[in-house]
Amino acid sequence: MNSYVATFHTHFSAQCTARTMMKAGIDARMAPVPRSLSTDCGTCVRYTAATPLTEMMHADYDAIYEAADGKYRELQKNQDT
Amino acid sequence: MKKVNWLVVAAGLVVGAAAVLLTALGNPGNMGFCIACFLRDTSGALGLHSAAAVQYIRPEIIGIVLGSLIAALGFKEFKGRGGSSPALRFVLGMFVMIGALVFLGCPLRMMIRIGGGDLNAIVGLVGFVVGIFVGTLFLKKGFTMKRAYTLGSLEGSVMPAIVIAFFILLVAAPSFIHFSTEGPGSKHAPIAVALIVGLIVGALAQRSRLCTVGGIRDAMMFKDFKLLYGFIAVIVAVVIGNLITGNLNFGFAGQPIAHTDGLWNALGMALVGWGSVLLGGCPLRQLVLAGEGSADSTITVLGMMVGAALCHNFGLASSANGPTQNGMIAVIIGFVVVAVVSFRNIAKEA
Repeated sequence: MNSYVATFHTHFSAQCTARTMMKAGIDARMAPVPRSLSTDCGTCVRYTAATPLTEMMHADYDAIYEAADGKYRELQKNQDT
Repeated sequence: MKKVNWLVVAAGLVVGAAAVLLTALGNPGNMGFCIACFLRDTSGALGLHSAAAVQYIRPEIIGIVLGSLIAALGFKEFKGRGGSSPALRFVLGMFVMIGALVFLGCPLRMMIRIGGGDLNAIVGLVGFVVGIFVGTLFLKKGFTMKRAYTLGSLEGSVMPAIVIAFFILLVAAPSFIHFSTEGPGSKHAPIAVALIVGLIVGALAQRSRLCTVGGIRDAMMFKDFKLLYGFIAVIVAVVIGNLITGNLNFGFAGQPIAHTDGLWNALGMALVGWGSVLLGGCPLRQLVLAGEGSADSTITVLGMMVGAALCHNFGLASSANGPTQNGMIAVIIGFVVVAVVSFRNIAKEA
């Protein structure tokens, strides 16, 4: 299992994604965006899963990062900017 | 306990110390920094209102925007973006300013007033927290201002360009720019010092994401206290600074540029708290975001400047004598507007 952080353009899209994941039994929670990542919206979703779960993202997600040792590696950027 | 982010704490301490320094160098009492008051003074200097006592282009505003711009450029975070309900943001900015000028200060000045011993600001803080709580209820219900889009660097450069124009007007001082000769607008630190302090605060606030609303919102919604430590650090630095300079005076009556009407102190700040949660940040944060390329925050700041002008043109702003009847009506209208925006912008989950 890996730790991921997904960032969003709106608090609402973060909330939708977190709820979708939690309904699917994924270990996910909303949290303030880490300072080193996007400053667009104040909220991110932290989750633990085997894959980045791109298919569960709300349409207004911004990017998905893999989190390890307090560092974030960008895995995927939403092209709809 | 969550991990402390020392950059946020350091930013808070510097902002608090800067406020004490600026007051010692000439800014009005407990007003080392006040985004609402300084935007109001700038509006007056431009002739948007004619309250002679509060007209001065505040270099601190210029410095905060440009400090944020420089930090954002240095760390490759400058990005022109916008399009998230711009007209609503303008209106919310107006009413946040009206709430602030009924209380007599933005959230940052509220903290600085607390640090100076002004107990009226504690009453304001209670209202502020309640307002933020109401805002977070709508966030949980699905409130959204819709997303922002990338718009290019020229769009993101508008607020920095505006403040550079302000600086030229401040230094050149043409006859059509107003300068108070008495009252709070006449009290100011030297331009160079105010500008440099503003630059430092703007850069630190950009790097740390310091936000007076965000600290309380994150604590309420996520039990995350990192930003809140910055909020507390401002107050601690101001208390220490005021102890050193002998300006710590506990009490309700006779506080500098403040009134003692508890109900309207609380309601004014409740409107600021609720409106700022919808906007995604306090007035300081809006200035910082405008500096790093947010057209939405630029619109919000312009809304606040127009709101400040309305406050003085329509007699909405409070004075040391207390709130005005017009101000009370405007705050009630503000609550209605903010409630309509809150309810109408609740989205259904896909």
